Amino acid sequence: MSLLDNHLLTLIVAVPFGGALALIFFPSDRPRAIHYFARAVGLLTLLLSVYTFATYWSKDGGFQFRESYPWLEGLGIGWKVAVDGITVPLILLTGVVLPAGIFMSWNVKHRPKDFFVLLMLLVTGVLGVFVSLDLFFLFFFYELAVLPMYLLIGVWGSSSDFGTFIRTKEYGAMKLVLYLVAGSVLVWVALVAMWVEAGMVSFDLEVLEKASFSPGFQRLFFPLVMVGFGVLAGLWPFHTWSPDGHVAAPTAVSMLHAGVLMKLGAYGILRVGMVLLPQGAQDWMPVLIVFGTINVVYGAISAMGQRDLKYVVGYSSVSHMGYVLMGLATLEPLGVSGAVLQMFSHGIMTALFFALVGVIYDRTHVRDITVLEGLSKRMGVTGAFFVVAGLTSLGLPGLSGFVAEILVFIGTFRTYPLLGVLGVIGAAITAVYILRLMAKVFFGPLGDRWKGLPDAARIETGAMAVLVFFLVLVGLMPWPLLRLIDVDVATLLQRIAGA
Amino acid sequence: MSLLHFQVLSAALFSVGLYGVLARRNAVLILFSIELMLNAVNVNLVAFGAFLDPGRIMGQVLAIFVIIVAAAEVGLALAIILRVYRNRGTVNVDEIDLMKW
Amino acid sequence: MSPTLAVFYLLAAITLGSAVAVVSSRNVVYAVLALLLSLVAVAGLFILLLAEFLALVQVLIYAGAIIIVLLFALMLTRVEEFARVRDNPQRPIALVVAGAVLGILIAAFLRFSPATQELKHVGVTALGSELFTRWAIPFEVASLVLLVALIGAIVIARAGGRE
Repeated sequence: MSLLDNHLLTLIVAVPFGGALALIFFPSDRPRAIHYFARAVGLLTLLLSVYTFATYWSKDGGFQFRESYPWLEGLGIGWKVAVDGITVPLILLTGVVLPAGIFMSWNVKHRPKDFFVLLMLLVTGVLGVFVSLDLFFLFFFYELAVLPMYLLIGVWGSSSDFGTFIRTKEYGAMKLVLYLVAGSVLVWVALVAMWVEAGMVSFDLEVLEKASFSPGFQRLFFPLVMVGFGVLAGLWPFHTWSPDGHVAAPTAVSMLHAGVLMKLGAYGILRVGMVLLPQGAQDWMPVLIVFGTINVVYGAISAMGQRDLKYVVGYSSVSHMGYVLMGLATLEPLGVSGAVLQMFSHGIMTALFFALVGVIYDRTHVRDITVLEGLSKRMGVTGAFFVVAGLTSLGLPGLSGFVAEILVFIGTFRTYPLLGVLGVIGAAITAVYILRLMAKVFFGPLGDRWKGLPDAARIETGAMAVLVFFLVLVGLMPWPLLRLIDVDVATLLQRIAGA
Repeated sequence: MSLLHFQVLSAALFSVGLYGVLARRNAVLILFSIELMLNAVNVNLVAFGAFLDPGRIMGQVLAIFVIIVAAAEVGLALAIILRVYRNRGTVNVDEIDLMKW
Repeated sequence: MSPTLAVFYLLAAITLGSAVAVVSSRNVVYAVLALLLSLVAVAGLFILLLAEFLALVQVLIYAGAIIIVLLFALMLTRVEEFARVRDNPQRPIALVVAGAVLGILIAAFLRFSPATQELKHVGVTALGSELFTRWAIPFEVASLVLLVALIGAIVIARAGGRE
């Protein structure tokens, strides 16, 4: 096992990439083979991520599974990877959501080969960002995770048309890519600035950590990092790409994007911004937490007013990412731990939401909540799973959302009590729209149109059950994850406080 | 004749090429402008190499690689443009809007 | 003004002048010829920098092969547009953006002024030995890139495609 351990992280990035490469050589007229192969790659990624989690658990914390190969020494770029207690849950998240998404794409009939190739490239990018300790590669994988989205949404997505409210999938695709690439421009400027300021020696995170930048420099460049990564995290007011993009995207893509990719943004703020620019972070956190709170409340209110079921979930995503940003901004151990746990919990939850919406849309061909009524009479399993997801989103104890949110709230109350109050109000608004949505769409009398609806297919039920399992598991037993997260959050915060 | 002369020249050439990429509507003309930008980069590289590098060779080596990749890129870009022309009957980029909302 | 400086200014004027013609000419054929002129002037600049092999490569590949390919592309995609082209209405914004980039680049170059050395002639031999020793692997990869581009271009442009 030691050979595996030594190259585990490179392997975990190489598996989806290799899967994409292998898929390119598949003949396009064998869709069954393509689907099966994609599922195999997904399950292999899941296996590797669970193995990473389990093996990391038995170690002491800090950065493990280090690998370091110099590449362009003149510029200080090398393949340097490692994971710590914050990254490992996120890798587990990716490993869980990816196969769920692939299984949920069982009825992608139009060019499945290209679809899965792009999906695999996306996941390669995501995993690459999580494991990279070299900022150049981190940025490279960040871009790799964003660029396939244009084709995935533009070709395989769906448009919304409610008469006066029309959003085509091309619009969603273009908006998403433009916003995210603009954000990454800001990030790149900040990264190069840090590289230059540290003497043009290295892009290595740990080397740059030791180079202490002047307070003025940090104050100038942290907002670039904050906004640049924040765009991907759905930071208000740069969040508008998220509802449009996620609604237009096909199911698996929405699951992966809202579930995992948005966490890249928060992870970037944490790993790049807070670690490398601690003084700047301390100065700008008040701004971040105010915007994060606005995320929560504004996202929740927007979700209340939506007519398209997928838009409700999209705005709910924006709202819940607000908790992550609030938690990060508290710079307080419970708050930041809560933020990382919320990244995991929300990732699973929103993947489940989008999966459910995908099932509903596939059976009813409608996403209009004024038309959908009483569905759980025919779609019992879907309804039950939706209830679980809904209760997680409003923070019911026993599900993972509660643990994450309460940690964030405690952290916020300790540092910015007024905003903590607003955050809790946001949770209350979440309860209102979620419960109202569930009552209208699932419970109540069955609409005539839906008399003959089939429920979720067995394959979909299986995929979604795994997500439900994790929501409940982490809700009842959060300490395995929290144990990993707390140690490294404490280290990180000490580093910030000492700056 | 100093490094700065060549730097300013390459910056100007790059900006002219950038203007061309943004302003032109014919796909082949956009390709011309991209070639201008690549040439500007080459001038910059060779100039830096000649004035700064002890062995004077790095700039030229990198410029050769840029030329190689530019040649490959032109070939592929033109194949795509020809394909698009055959399918859509136009190379006016404003009219190639299948993915436009 | 030394002779080399005068030659530099002349070549620079030709390069930039024809570049402007490339991006603004209404006649497509004029644009191609202007591009050819610009590329040849850049080859002259390379000679000024004592990189004569690169100048050779520039003329051979750029001014030779690439211009021919571009002319063919123009020929095959012509029809009505051959004589006059209209540019799109975002010209003013393009001007502003290009101007901004120019400003930023020149500002950066003015700030970062390293100590320079005298120009020295390095022969083709040195270039060749570098390419085949230290840069051997990138060189091979570059030839692979050309091969893949060639195959890709043939696959894309052939007549009986699937979709």
